[in-house]
Amino acid sequence: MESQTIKNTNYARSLIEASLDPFVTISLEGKITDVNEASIKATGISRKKLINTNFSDYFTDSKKAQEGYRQVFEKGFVSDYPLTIKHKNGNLTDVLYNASVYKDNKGNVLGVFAAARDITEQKQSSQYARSLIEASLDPLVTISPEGKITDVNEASIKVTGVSRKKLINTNFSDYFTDPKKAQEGYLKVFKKGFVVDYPLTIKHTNGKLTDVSYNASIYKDDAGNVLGVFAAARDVTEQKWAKDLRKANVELAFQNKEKGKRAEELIIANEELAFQNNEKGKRADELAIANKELAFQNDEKEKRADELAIANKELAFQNDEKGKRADELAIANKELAFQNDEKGKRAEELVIANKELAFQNDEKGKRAEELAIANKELAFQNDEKEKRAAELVIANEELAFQNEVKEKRAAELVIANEELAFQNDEKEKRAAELVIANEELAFQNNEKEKRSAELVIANQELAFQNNEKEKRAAELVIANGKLEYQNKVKEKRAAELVIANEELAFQNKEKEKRAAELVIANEELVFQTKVKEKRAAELVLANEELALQNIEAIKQGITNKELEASNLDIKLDSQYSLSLIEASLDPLVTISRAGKITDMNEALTNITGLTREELTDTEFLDYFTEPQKARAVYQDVFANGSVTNSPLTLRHKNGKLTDVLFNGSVYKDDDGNVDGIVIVARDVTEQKRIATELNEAIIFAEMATAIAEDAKIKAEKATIIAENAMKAKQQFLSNMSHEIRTPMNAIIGFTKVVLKTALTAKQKEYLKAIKISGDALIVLINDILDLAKVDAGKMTFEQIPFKMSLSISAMLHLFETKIREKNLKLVKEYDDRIPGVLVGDPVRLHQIIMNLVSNAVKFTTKGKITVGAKLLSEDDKEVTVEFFVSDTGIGIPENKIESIFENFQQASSGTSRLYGGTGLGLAIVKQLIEPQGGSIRVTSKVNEGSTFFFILSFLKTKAEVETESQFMELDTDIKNTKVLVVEDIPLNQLLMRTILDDFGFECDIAGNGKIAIEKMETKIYDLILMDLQMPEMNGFEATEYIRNKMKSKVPIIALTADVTTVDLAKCKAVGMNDYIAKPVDDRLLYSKMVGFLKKSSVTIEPDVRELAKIVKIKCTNLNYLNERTKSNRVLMMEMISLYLEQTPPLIGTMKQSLFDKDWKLLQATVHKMIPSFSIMGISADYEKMAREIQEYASTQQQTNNISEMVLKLEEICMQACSELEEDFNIFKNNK
Amino acid sequence: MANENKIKLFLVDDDALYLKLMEIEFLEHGDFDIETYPTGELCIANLSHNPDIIILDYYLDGVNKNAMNGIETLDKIKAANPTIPVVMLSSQDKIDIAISCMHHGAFDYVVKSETAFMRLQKIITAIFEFKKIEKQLNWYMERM
Repeated sequence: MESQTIKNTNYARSLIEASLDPFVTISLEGKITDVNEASIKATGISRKKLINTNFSDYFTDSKKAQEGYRQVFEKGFVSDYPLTIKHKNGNLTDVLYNASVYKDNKGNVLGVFAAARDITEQKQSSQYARSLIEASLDPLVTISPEGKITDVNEASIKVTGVSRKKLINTNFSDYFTDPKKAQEGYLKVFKKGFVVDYPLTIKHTNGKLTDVSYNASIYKDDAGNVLGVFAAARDVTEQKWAKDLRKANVELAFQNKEKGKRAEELIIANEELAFQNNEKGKRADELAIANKELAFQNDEKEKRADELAIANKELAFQNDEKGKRADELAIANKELAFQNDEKGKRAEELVIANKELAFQNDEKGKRAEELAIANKELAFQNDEKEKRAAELVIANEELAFQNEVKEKRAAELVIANEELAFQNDEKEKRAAELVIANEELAFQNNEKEKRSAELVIANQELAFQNNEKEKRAAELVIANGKLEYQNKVKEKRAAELVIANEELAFQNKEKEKRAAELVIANEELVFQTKVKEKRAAELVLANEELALQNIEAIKQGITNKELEASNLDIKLDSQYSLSLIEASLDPLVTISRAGKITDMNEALTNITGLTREELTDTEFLDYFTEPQKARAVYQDVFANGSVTNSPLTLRHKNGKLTDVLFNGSVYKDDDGNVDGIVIVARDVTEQKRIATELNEAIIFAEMATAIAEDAKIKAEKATIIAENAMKAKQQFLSNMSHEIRTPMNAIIGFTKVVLKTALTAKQKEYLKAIKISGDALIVLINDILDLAKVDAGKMTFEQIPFKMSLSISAMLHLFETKIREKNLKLVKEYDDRIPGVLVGDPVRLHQIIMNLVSNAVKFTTKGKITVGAKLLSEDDKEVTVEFFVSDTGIGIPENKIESIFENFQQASSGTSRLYGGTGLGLAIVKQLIEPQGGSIRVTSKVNEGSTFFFILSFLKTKAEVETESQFMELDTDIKNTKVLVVEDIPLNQLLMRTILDDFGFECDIAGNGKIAIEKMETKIYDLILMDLQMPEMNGFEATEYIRNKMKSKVPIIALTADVTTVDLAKCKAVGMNDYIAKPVDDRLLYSKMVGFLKKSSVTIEPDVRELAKIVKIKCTNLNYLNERTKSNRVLMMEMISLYLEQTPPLIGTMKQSLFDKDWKLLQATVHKMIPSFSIMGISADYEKMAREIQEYASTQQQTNNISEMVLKLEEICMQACSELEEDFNIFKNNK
Repeated sequence: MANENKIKLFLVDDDALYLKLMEIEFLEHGDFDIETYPTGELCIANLSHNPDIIILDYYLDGVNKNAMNGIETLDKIKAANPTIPVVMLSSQDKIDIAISCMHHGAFDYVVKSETAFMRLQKIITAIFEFKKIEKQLNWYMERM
């Protein structure tokens, strides 16, 4: 019994001694009474020295130790009481003490039995977990059930900007933009136990907001009491895509599962497929065999087909042969037939011959009969003769009687008798011969009959043979046909077989393809299955590992179960951390000081493609594309304790590269020694890829922009070039006019002047030649300029009232001299029905008729020139007049009539040599007529003359009717005309004077604008010719002064060398009536002057009236509309009618509002009128005026001006309306 | 059917002349499908025609006091479909009008002048450029 007890005690002792946990018993006084080996190890102090020393001496915190065992005595036990044992060499060991009192039999407490568990390891792991948590980039936080923060990691501090201390024990919800939502969030956690991807926004102290997604779960103690919430936030501001990715991942996982399921299904399907495949394989094999067989058969068939083909060919050949033979037979047949025919013919001939023979036979028979008859007759005659002989005998006897008498005679008679007998004999012989011949003939007949019968038989036989042959030929033909048919059938069959073959081959191929596809699908499935299996295996491995770890953990847990809460907490923490680590999608890895991998998570194995085992204890640097950089990074970690977002590239074992951002921090053991580093790598491949894509897209966009810009620049350059070209053209034209006209002016002018002096005949002749050449040159230049104007669309037509009859007469007057010189007659035929005054462009009409008449004069050497105008039609608004110019000149060949209206075309190249001219005249005429809505045509006969007809429409007008009488006196009027020439260059002064003298006008010269004005103040002029460029006061200034200051409406014609549009516009703007280009064409000048003199003489009487009315310049022009609508008549008409519709009511409203002093309405009305000014080409001054009115009206400053301006506006608008109405009608009528 | 590919423009102006001119100009310079309206009310009533761009006169109630003015029309357009770009037109070159238009969601503000049409053309080009870029951006955002 005792020994048993001792044994037990010893056993217990040895157990205690063997225990790795330090055990110690402590007396009531706190002295150590017993220790085990582990205690000695932990303290490094021998057993003896330990016993009877103070238990608390061996701890870093002796007070806490004392407290601990005191607790034991009080409570009877203590569990998981954390203390730190101090080794004598200074090593510290964290332990958890579990102690209980032990009592003697009576229940007296003898002391404390304390068992310490070394938790350094655990602590380390917890620290490790802690450092992991700290290293996490995601803000992690634990929250108490009251919503207070109990713990945070570094990331949380970063994201809130609040220190750890300040964070702890504050309200979790305080750090969010939406505290209510945060509160709801953690309440939800407590309620449900977890929350996933709860979106919240963290507020940094500096105001920065961070979108996070919270994943939280409660954590419990062993007893299942909820201790708090562990919340992990993931920064999603930067990583919305990551979230999406995660979602996608989840979905993928789900899909994976689905795929797993599907894979399983697929596996089953696979198996089935495999089975089917097998089946199919078998079938395929069978098919292959069948195929082969088919192929073989095909081959056979092909062979057979080939054979058949050969046979066919042979047959065909035979057929051919047969055909040939048949042909030959046919030929033979034909020949036979022919022979037959021949034979038939011969037979027929034979028959005929036969018949003939028969006939001959008959004839012979007949003859024989006849012979027989003759014979008979002979016989009869013989008989007769015998009778006679008998008679003679009788007679003889009689005679014998008589003979006696007549013996002589009797003898003679005997002789005669004998002779007769001889003759008889002869005759008998001959009869016999005839009989023989007859018989022979009969025999021959028979022979012939026989032969003919034989021939008939032979014939028949031949016919029969022929028939036979024909039959055979027919049979052969049929046989041929049959053979052909059979051949065809065989060919068909062969073709069918070939097709069938092909089809089979195709089917075979399809089947093979399908089989191959199936095999590929199979392989793929197998591969997928394998991959999945691999993954499954990996997962299983991971699972197992996890399970293993779990088991270990559980094991540990079981052993630990004796220990209590804090231990569990740590374990939980560590487990939680571990699972967090494992669950992390970012590769996590811990590296020892030596750079070896010590631990990693699943993500790392995924990203490197290596298993955990393969990775562990290998060189961390091996997995990067740039080991040096990686080394630098982790050295950096050791040096600085952490590193953030260092970019590196991980290499998968299959070579795939993954761009990652590295975040690392060191972790330390309890002593603060660096154990290694924890590195979190974040996969940024996707980000990089997107970034690259974005960059590429940006580059592309930039490139596209660059290209577009290039194109734009090019286009702009082209535009500039085009504009430059246009400018150059204009410049050229300007130069033309200036550089050529100015010297020409002098040449022509002075030639004229010299011509007026006393000259010898020779000199006069030469000078005339110079003048003619100069005139020709000027005409050419004017023509080119005119045409250029037309081309540039600058040709405008006026609509002014004029006297047509007079206008034409005046113009023809210019040709009188020339016509007289050439000894021609000029006839004018004017239709009296044409209204006296019409509205149109008289200058252009002049130009047209002038060109035509000058052509007529040029090309006519004798006879007459007829100019006429005929009224074609008339209504209440307009008249259409046909003009004609006819001559008796050289005429135009018919083939040229088409082209004479083209530029630089004359009827023949020879004409220009003979008659001169540019060939532009008719082109210009056409260009002048057609834009006015007219038409031109020509009839001509070579050497008889030509007639040009043109039709133009003119508006009717009632204006200036009363001036009829004055026109009658025009010539005298004009003769007394006083003209002021304002010109600074003496050369030109002289020239103008000469010209005007020629016209018979009185003329004064002023050297500049100032002198001109002075002269005008003392004398009244009918017309002013104004140069533009002059010293002191130029033409523009002078005109402005005359118009505005002197209020004179005297017609002013500008003289200008530059006929650019700018100048012309300016001329009109300052109030000039017209312009004429230098060098002055006296005819044009004359016609223009006459035009104005007429007008001014009409309107001369009344005094100064409204400016706008005196200056009969149109206030509108349709240039803008023309340009905008590209001269689209319909659109222009629409616009004009809109204006006409809109404007009068607006004018009414404007006036009314002014009257009512309704400024707002006035403003609105004028406002609405403003755009119309520029559209209708009304001077910008009026638009400005309208704007002023608007301004006044809006500010409601009533000035005196306003009513005046409104009146002016009204006037101009009314004028515009009437003008536009006219334009509208012109458009309408010309349509 | 051919109209499907054309840009549909609404031109709204109580000045019939200017309205017609704009129509002519647009038809001259581009292949547009154009509808013109003399009042804001008519424009709103026809929004169902789905215009791509509306060019709207600012001063629609000038003469007819009861007419809806440009800003009201703009607001109604924006209420009906905020994506339709509206370009405001006015004869007045006033900054406060321009700002008020922009505040009400106009895409741009153009003063009626000789260059107005050119500006409108540029703006229309810009609108489509802008729309294109926006679309591209959306595409990339989606990709992100």
